[in-house]
Amino acid sequence: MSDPARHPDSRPTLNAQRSTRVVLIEDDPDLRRVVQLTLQFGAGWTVDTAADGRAGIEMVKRVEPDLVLVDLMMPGMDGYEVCRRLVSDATTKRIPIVLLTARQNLDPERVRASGARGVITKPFDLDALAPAIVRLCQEEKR
Amino acid sequence: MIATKQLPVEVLQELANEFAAGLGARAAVMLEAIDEISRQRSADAAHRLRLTAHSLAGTASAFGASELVPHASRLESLGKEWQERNGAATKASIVVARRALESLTVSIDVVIERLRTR
Repeated sequence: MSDPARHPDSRPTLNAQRSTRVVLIEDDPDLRRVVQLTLQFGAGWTVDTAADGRAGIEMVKRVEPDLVLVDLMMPGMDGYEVCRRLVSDATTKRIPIVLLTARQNLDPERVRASGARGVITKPFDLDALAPAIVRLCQEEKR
Repeated sequence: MIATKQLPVEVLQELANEFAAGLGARAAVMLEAIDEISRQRSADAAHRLRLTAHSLAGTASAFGASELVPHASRLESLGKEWQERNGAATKASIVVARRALESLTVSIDVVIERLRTR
């Protein structure tokens, strides 16, 4: 049987029917752009971006992505609060969320309680980002 | 340069230029926050310093500018410490912050030169 996590062209995917669609919520404009372009060029994903939690949640409701990538520490609403709101909303609770963070010592219990599928720690390997995200989402399904 | 093989060279250069162009503004926000705290207690300024330094610490390595990370991390720690003290800072810790920002600024100049000459 073919691996559902990979397209025939061997690029990682979270959606076998169409291009994987991601909402990236990241306040740093430079990192936001480099992650967006890396996932678009490298993995062929469609990446919508938001600079803060409030705009990000609105975007998630609008585009119904396959995945939400959210920075943990942002001004205003932080990543945990974004998770809490998405997980408690019937229209968004099934969308997997992966946290991005530069913090090394996260409380695993707090991460689990947030509803996020996992954490990717900065600095991350850009070329390995899409496969790492897919792996986190697949692990959770098992 | 940005550590990815997945982007065309011209895109990488554009991203690097944008990152380099914004470094001065990041340092200016941190200087302003330190100046404000040196004049008066300010939890807001401590929060701004913490967030700006945190953001830079998390982003710099993606642009091959990892020499900025220890200085930014130091400033982030000071911002956190001051925030936890409700925006109050000792004179000694302000001196430490100014030194860390000076070191960061020197490293920023090196990074800008390196990114622009690629």
